[in-house]
This record gives sequence, structure tokens and C-alpha cells, in this order.
Amino acid sequence: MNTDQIIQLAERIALGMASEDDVRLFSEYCDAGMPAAQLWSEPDMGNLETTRVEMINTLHERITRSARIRRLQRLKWAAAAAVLLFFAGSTFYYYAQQRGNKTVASISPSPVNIPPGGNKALLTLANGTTIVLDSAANGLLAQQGNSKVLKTNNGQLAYNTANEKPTEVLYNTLATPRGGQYQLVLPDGSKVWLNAASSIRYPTTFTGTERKVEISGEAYLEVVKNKTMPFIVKLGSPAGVKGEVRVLGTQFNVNTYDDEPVVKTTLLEGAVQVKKDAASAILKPGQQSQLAGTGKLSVVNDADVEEVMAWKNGKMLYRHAGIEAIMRQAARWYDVDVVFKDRVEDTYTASVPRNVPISQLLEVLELNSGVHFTIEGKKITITK
Amino acid sequence: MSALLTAHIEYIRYTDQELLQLLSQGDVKAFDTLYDRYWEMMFKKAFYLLQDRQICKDIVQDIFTLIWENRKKLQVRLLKPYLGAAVKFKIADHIRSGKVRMQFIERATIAPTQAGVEETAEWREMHQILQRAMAALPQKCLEIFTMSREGNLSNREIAERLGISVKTVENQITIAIRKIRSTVGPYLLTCLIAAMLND
Repeated sequence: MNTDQIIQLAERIALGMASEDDVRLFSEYCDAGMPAAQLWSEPDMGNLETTRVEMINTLHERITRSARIRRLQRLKWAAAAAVLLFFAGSTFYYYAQQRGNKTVASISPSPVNIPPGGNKALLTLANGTTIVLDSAANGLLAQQGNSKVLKTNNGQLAYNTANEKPTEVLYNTLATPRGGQYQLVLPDGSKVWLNAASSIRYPTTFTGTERKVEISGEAYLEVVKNKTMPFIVKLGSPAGVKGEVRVLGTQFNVNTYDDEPVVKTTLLEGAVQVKKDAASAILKPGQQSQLAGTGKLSVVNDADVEEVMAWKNGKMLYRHAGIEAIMRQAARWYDVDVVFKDRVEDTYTASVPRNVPISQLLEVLELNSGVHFTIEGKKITITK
Repeated sequence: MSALLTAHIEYIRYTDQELLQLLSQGDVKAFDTLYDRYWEMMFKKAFYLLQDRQICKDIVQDIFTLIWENRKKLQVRLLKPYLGAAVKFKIADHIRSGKVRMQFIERATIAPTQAGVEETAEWREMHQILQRAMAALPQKCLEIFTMSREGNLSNREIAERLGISVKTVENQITIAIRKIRSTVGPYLLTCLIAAMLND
């Protein structure tokens, strides 16, 4: 075979166009180039150990990048003995699963994989007109009085108000469905990120002594400083039923879902005051307030801000989270119903990008536990 | 003899099959042990032909990445020839993209040697991989593709035999190649491994 023929042979192999004889011939050519006893030659190939280490490190990076589960064995043993004892049962259960010959059940192949949520929302104007934002074109959506409503980009809404004094204050509501998310720039320039199954009601222009909005579900806000006009977020629906947050200028996340046990406000920067009836607390950055159904308001220092903000940063991040909490979030983002057939005590630490089909999240959860997920249409059943 | 990861000393006694079983359950130590066992062989195999350190590192890393990503579906009977086959496919792909052609030509023009047991196992693996990839093609497409591949027939000859137009033959072959490669991504291997395993 001449040079060209050999190259063509290699190309046929690469294209899948190779016959059995081709394959055999190419393979033999490859073998011919290798001496019987192959020694590592450092001048040509580089340092043996360095090469080995570099490659395995890259491989580990790739492995942890796709899905990361930190196993319970890395729980700091210095932690409170009570915590240790509590987890002991589930920890050993965990390992019994891993060491034994029990094969981990895999997800039965499902004809339709459930896609992640996306930029979807419904805008309701003051006059009752509704606009579906997923499909609306960019640009001016509506004019209400002196305010222009603009769709600036995929997933973003902005308000431009002429500087004249408005004749009346008009309210709009932006609502995301399950499986939706959206961003909004308020008339004062404050930015709002809405998670799935959430809504914000706000005026088209801020007037008077306070800037007031109403939020249900979950949102992250970056509020523009204005000492003369404090920003007030009324939580829950009807407005304020879950308390309110007063801010001057700041960045914080509120979580007021009905199916979550507590209403959480997490402060990243600035200062806020959280109030519910008689109870109130002033938060500093890194703190989180928790309002229970009983009306009790407590403050947590060193909140896991990364975990709280994961959704806004395009991730699903869990640290020692129970599977029920994880599945509540998944239900909102993927718009599915979750049914637990068995009780699952394990906690999970995992990080998965938000823009993946649900199978990837479930795979990560299944990987090191005996949990089994069955997907039927939009229903996910969990068994052990 | 390459250094061993001493942390996984207890895994050394496992066979390839046992390690693959553990790997399918997400056991990273099993993955590391397989890597330890075979990385050097794979690297040297590629290096003797291509003489390029970075390309050889890419080849080994890409193959192991695919093994991790497909760990649940993996059903390989003999790992060593399978990995050898994978390296050869990667070599073919790099030759196709042009960078290391001269190096390969210089080394591969030695007259082909008589294949021993191990070498036979490798090209048989390669053939099997291709077979499985092709099995996924639609009937007619597969027929035309096979005739072109195996019979060394020209497109016109195939068209005459099947009573169809030459254009149709060309289209079908293009589609077949695209499908086989597409399941793969930039390198044949991705798909090949996946196709290998849905038994």
C-alpha cells in the first residue's frame, strides 16, 4: 500500500466505512509500528509520573463537573455528637448499600425525558390584558399611561417611565408558571429574578414615600438605593400574609412558597428589616430569617448563601438536603408531580446545572443510594 | 512499571470485570484502578504511531471520559482489546484530521506483521464496534452502505444492481456516514461505545 492508500484506509476507519478486511489491515499497520516490549521513554514521552497525574486529575475534574455527590463519609466527624448519632443509622445504611452486592436500580428507560424549565411568564396589565412573554417578540409590549413596557431580551422585562408626574398609579403582575422563570427591571431600576411558580405585583411607576411590591413564590432582588423611598416587599398572597421585608438598597432572596415549611429571606448585601405582625428582625449580610407557620421569626447566621442563590445562578445545589425538599424544588422547575411510596431518610449533597432534563438530576440522586425513580408522563414515583 | 495509587490498594486484586461492575455503580476508585491498569499501555500505543504527547493525552483522557459517562451501560467482555480498539479508532480519527499523518506513515509503512492473539482480539473488537453502529441504520440504507463498503463497488454499479439512481445511492451513503458519525460527536468513539452496549 502506498501512502495515499494508507491515509484513505485510515479515513474509512474514521468514517465507519471500513470493511472487515480494512479493519484488520489498519489494525495490523498500527501493530507494526509498535515494538514488542514497549518501554516508557522520558525524552520523547515526558515524565511518566507527571503524565499519569495530569491525566487522572483532568479526568476527576470532568467527573465532578458533571455531577457531584459528596458522600456522608466526608461529614466532619468533629460535628456535634448528636448530629453524628442521628446520622449514624442512615450513614451505615448508605454503606451497606454500597458495599453489598445489591445493584443500584437504574431508571427504567422512559420514552419522553422531562425537559427543564425555561423563560416563561405571563404579564397582566392594569387593564386586565394578559401577555404571554415566552412567545412575545422583543421590543415595546405595551404603553400604560407614561410607562413603556419593554421586552428587552429573552427572559427579561423592563419599564421605562417618562419623567412627568403620573396621573394614576397602575399595577402590573408578572407571574411564572411551573417550569418558568423570568427577570424584570422595575421602574426605579431595581432588578428582580423570579423563580418558577412565583409572581410579583408592582406599580408601573413608584410614587409617594415608599416603593411597594407584592411577591409570592421565590424571587431574588437587587434593589436600587433610595433613602427617601424605602423599598417594601409584601410576602405571600394575599399581600403581606407572610410578612414583609423593608429595604433601603440591597440584594436579597425571598422564598415564600406555600409548600415550604418556613418563609425565608436571605440577605446578601445591604440591610433589611423583616416583619410579620409583632415580630421583626433586622438582617445583616449572610443572615437568613425564617418565619414559621406559628408566627415565630428566627434568624440564622452564616446562611448557606450559595445554596439559596443557586437557582438564580442556573444551578440546582443541595447541601445535606432531604430528598423531599429537593423534589419540591424539582416539581416546580420541571412541572411534575412527585409521589413518595417509601420514606427516604438520606440527605444529599449535589450540584447539577438547571438546564438539564430531569433524568440527570435523578441519576445523580440515584447514584449512591437505594432510591428508585419511576417516571410516568409527568409523575415521578419514589421508592426504595 | 508505573506508580500505583496506594489509596486503592485493596482494589488491585479485582479483575477487570469486577472493576467494571463496581464502576457501573459509580465507584470512582474502580475507575482509578482501571485507569492505573491501562493508561500507560494506551498512551504508548498511540505515541509510537503519532509521536505527539498532547494528542496522546487527549486520546487517553477522551476514552476514559467516555467510559465514565457510559459506565452504567457498559458491557465489555474483554477490556484490554476493547481499549486497544478504542485507541486505534482515535488514531484513525486524528490521521483523518491531518495533524499526525506523516508520523503515522513513517511508522506504519513497515510491512504488516502476522497478528498474534492479542492483536487479533483488537481488530475483532473494532469490527464488532462498527457492526453495532451500522446495525442501527435503516434497512435500505444499510444495504447500500454495505455494498459500497464490502463489495468495492462503484456507486454506479450499486445503482445498476438495485435499479435505483446513482444520486440515491450517493445520498444513502452520505446519510449512513452521517448517522454513524453523528451518534458519536466529533469522534467516532462516543457513539461506538454507546452502540456497543445496548444489547
